[in-house]
Amino acid sequence: MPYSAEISRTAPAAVLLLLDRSASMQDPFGGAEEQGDAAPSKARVLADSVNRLIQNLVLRCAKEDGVRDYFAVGVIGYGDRVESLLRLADQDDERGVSGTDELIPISYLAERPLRIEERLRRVPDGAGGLVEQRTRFPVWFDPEARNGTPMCQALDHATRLVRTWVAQHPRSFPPIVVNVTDGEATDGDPVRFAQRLREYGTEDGETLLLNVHLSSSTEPAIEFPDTIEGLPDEHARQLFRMSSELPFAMRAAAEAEGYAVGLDTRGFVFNADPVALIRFLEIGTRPSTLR
Amino acid sequence: MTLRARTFSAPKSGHTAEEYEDAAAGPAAAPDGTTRLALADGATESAFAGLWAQTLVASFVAPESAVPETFGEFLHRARRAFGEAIAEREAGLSWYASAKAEEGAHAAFLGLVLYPDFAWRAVAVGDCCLLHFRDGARLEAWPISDPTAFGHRPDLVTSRYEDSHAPTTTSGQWAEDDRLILASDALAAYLLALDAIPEDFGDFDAFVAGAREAGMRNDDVTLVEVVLG
Repeated sequence: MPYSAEISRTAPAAVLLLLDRSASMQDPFGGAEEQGDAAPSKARVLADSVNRLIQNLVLRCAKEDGVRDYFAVGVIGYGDRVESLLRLADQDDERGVSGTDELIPISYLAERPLRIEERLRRVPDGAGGLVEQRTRFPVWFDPEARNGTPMCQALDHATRLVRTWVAQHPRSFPPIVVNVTDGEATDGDPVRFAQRLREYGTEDGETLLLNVHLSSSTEPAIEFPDTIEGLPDEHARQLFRMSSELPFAMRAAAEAEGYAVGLDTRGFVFNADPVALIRFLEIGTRPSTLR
Repeated sequence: MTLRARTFSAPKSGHTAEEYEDAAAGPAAAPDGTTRLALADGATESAFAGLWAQTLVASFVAPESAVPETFGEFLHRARRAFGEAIAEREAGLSWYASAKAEEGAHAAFLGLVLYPDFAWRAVAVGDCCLLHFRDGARLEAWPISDPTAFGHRPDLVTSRYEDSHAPTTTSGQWAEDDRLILASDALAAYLLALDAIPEDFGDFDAFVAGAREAGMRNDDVTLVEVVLG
């Protein structure tokens, strides 16, 4: 069955994040509790989402004595240009696991956040109430928003990275590409580029392309839809068409978490937190109480 | 009550012996005349899972525990011991180890108590299995008897007070020459699918290699074999 390859240190999976850093990302995010001037920018929400995605990837691989390299991670930003935002520092002797320096072991990232912020979060106090607790929040990326949205170029860059990766890791779980954007490509029709990217794969299946749409629209959040009906605008419909159908194992994991899924469920979320996508990847025995 | 017990284990392929996160304890004779054995399987995705598995089995076979009647009390002692062990390490933890420690450690657990009057009782949370054989025939496979019913998200005992799944219990009668097997999940699933299990697990590494070749899921494997009488 496709998409059933074990994700392990000998057969790691590639996770590639594509981050829209165009000027329109300065606009307010429509899915926040705060509205109007108090709403965070889409760029801010993107940075938070991506930091949380990476944090969750690290935690899925973390043991008491270190982080196991189940994943190789790449991050491509697209705005005033298309560029890899993660590179191994020159003084480090380690090589990226893809043979390039653009897909790097998750343990390397775990040890090198830009900074670690202290944030407050609310946790149950055991007596039916909530109590604020300090927690360490690692930050790898800060918000940035400039120029156009060269999404097609970004997808093309991703295709080149994925092509190199799959040639070197033919037995791995297929690469997972997560594109976080407000959807307004300014350099052509991204559907065609998305299709080409997805066609590259390993023996275990085609590349999975998951899209996270951060919109200024205040329409309710949508997670993992199985139809284009009801999506709020043309950008959302386009991103839906670009997104892979969730494979069986990920559908099963999504269902176990209470999502309504069907055969046509797409890896697409609108104004919603994408971290669930990471949870749907099977590494080993997973406590169902962990979120 | 006399018995012969042997414990066999092997880490997941591609992992080192230090990364093995199952644990087994016993047979241990208790002051009340019972003999206890326990098996735990630390969850891949929690940190300190091996330590938690070891703490659970050690607490279960400890002379002061009166089990399985008082599962809650046994679990409380295990959590306290585990909490103390983690507190000692806490200061030096990285951001991710500290976040994982906050999530707690998780393990599947199986405990077996043999009584001198030929009764046995077992308690389990999750997918470690007990198999009971008499004259080569299987009398019991518990808590899971269907080899296809094992998954990635079993019930687990956690080191945090609020999160654990409830235990299930069962009981039976043993006779001389009966064979009881405690097996962690991947191995239990494999054994349940066989027409007949091996007479002897003596060369365990070779057995495991063959089983993996034949499709057994790659996981830590542990087997405790008890022959009574």
